Amino acid sequence: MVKNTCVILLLLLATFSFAASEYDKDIVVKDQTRNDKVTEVFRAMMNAYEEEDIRLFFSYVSEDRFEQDYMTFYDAIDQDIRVYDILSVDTWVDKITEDGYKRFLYVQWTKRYLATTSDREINQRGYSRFLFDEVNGKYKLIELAGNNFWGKSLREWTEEVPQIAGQEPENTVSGGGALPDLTVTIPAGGGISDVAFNINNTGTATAIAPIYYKIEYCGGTIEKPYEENILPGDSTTYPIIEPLPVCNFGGQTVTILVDSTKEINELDEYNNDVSKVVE
Amino acid sequence: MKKLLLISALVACSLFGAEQVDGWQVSGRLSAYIESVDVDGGRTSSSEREKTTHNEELNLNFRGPLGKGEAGLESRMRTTNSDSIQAHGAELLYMKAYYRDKIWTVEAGDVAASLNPYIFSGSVKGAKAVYKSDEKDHTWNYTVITGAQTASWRDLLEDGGDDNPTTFTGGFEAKYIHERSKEIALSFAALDVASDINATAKNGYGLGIDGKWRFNKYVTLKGRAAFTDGKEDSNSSSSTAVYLKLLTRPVLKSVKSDFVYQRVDSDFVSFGGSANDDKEQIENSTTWTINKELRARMDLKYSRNNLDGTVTNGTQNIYYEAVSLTYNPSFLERGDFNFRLTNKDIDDDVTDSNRLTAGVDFNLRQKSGWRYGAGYDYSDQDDNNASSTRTHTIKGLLGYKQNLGKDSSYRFTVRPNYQLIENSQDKIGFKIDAGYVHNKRLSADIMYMINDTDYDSSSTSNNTQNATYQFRSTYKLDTKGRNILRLLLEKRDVHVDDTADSTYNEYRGKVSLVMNF
Repeated sequence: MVKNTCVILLLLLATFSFAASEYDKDIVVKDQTRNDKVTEVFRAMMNAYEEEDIRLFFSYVSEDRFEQDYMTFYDAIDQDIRVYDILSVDTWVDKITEDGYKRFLYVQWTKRYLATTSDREINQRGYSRFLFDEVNGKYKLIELAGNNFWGKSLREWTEEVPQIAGQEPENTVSGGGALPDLTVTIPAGGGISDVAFNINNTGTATAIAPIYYKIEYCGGTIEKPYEENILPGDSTTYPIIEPLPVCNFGGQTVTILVDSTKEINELDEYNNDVSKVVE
Repeated sequence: MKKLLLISALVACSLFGAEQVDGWQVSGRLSAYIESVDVDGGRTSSSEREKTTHNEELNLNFRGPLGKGEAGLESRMRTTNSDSIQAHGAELLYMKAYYRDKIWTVEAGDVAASLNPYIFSGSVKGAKAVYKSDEKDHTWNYTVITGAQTASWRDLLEDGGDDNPTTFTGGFEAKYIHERSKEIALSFAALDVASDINATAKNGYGLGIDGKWRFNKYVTLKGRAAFTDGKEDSNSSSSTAVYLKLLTRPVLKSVKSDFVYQRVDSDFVSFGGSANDDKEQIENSTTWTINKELRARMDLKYSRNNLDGTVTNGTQNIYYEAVSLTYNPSFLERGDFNFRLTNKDIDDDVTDSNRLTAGVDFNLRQKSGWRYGAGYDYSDQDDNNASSTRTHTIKGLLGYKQNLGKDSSYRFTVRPNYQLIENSQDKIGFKIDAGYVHNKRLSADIMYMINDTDYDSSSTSNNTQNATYQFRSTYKLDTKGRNILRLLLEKRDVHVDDTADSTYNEYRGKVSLVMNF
């Protein structure tokens, strides 16, 4: 009797356990499908971005449900395409978390690109979060957070992107509107064979190194990184001195452009250069 | 028996997984490079000197569970022999220990906070604590931060005495957030520089309020204001700053118009944050999506200084106007035409300058992989109505990118350009950039750029020719791209007519390695 009862109990237990595992399996399969859908949409968006197909890209964004400013995001993607030549992008989905039908996609990424104003190749890495929701049966992007994988070139947009834990340090401090603002000043004096200048940060956030500067002089260019962070209100510790070729006797016009790689989001993007005749 | 094995395996996996989650983890990144530069020819003229430099950076992070939350230690250090990067051979760049759970975040070391930017914004070497209340529809965040404001740990340990005393600062913020759309924060910051020398002594405090309020879909207001009181350079002062930004969407989905007003007193000293003092500005930026093909943007900006009337050259007024149009015709699915016009006037009692720029360009990206572009820019810089510099620039673009399957592709871009500065010089050049990616692991790129500048006969400058050859390669040592090897080889030729000493060649080689673990 006891033996039979034990067998029945074991069978019941086994039945419940199998039933439970089948149920779990069902849920897992459903969730997996949703996660796959979201990952697929994200890959399609990435390809559209790499191919610079702005219309296709925005077909995966929900204008009605977008939680940030849709028009600013459109401007930012448009600006990215003008300012950067994307060479390659690699992404790795770190995790997908859910909130009802919504899916938060956490992605690690690297991006290799050229700024059209620069001769240097930039390698950038980041960690971002993309929020997708089901709209009319299809998953669409409704929010971005973390490092600016898309739209980095437009300050108005980066101000709207919240920070997340684990992201790489960036020149954008979210929320408070704090940003660096880089300017160049050439102190009085200087010789015929070199140019001395200071890079200043008159903004409200730290400018994070490397800060590229580009010097255009009689036919040639020099582009180099300044490797120290510059605090708000601060300047380069010592003037940067670059020797220049002597190519005239009556003075040459030298133009210095700071943030030549367009890597740093600033309060004012149009005060980065200065020209001077070096006597 | 099979099920027993399966259950055993699952239990083992769970335990193993729990070990992974519950155990402490070490992660980080090592990046290093060695770079060599050689110069021949007119060595005195080159900006480069023959040298070999190396640079190594190590990020090292420990993290693991502690109580109901997580604790960790993050650090970053660098060694180099390059004086242009840092004065000392080895430097500790960053160090932070932290504990965080759902409610509390406590940090020590290099800590940063972005409160009201007028009051406190930036990083200090000290401590920070954040408390977040856990309500459903609203949250209260309290942040307190304090420490020394120095660029490096070395500076902190080697206090420069009265000439360069350490600055101690602290800030506090209470922020109320209601359903993500409305937030308001009160902040306080204080600063003290202890020194017997009056000129370097500085102390004071600031009070601020800032926040954003989204009234509805059409109107959002962001703003901040601050009052500071204290002593700097032996002068005592109290002053205010205010910033308001009104974001409006008069016609939802097609028009956005943002207004900015800012006024920062001429003697405003931001003791823990930063602000450009002596400035009043008014701005408007409007974007109008006229239809699916046509978009327009207009920026109007005005700013002035001399708010207390003490500037010697009188008030400097800056007026800036910009208009741009983008036409994305339906018959060119992936093409657009752009037109832009800007005008900037700066005037005070001494200066009167004007800069006018205009530009048009066209871009087309075809599905076949071809890209075409052409553009013309004009600028006229007029200083004090006495000298005028007119510049014309023509740019072109021809590019092609083709996927070869299996994550392989090749591409090339040619960018010719011509620039004429009237009565001065003309410059012609082009840049070719080509690349090949194999299986997303190996990439090789070449770049060639040449510029030829001819000066007018009236100029005393000598004509120059400048060419750059560049080879870049990236190899991912693993499929996830966590370990990357990069190579850069570059040669620059510079030739200046009639000055043999200035003709020279520069050679640069750089190998770098990034390892994530």
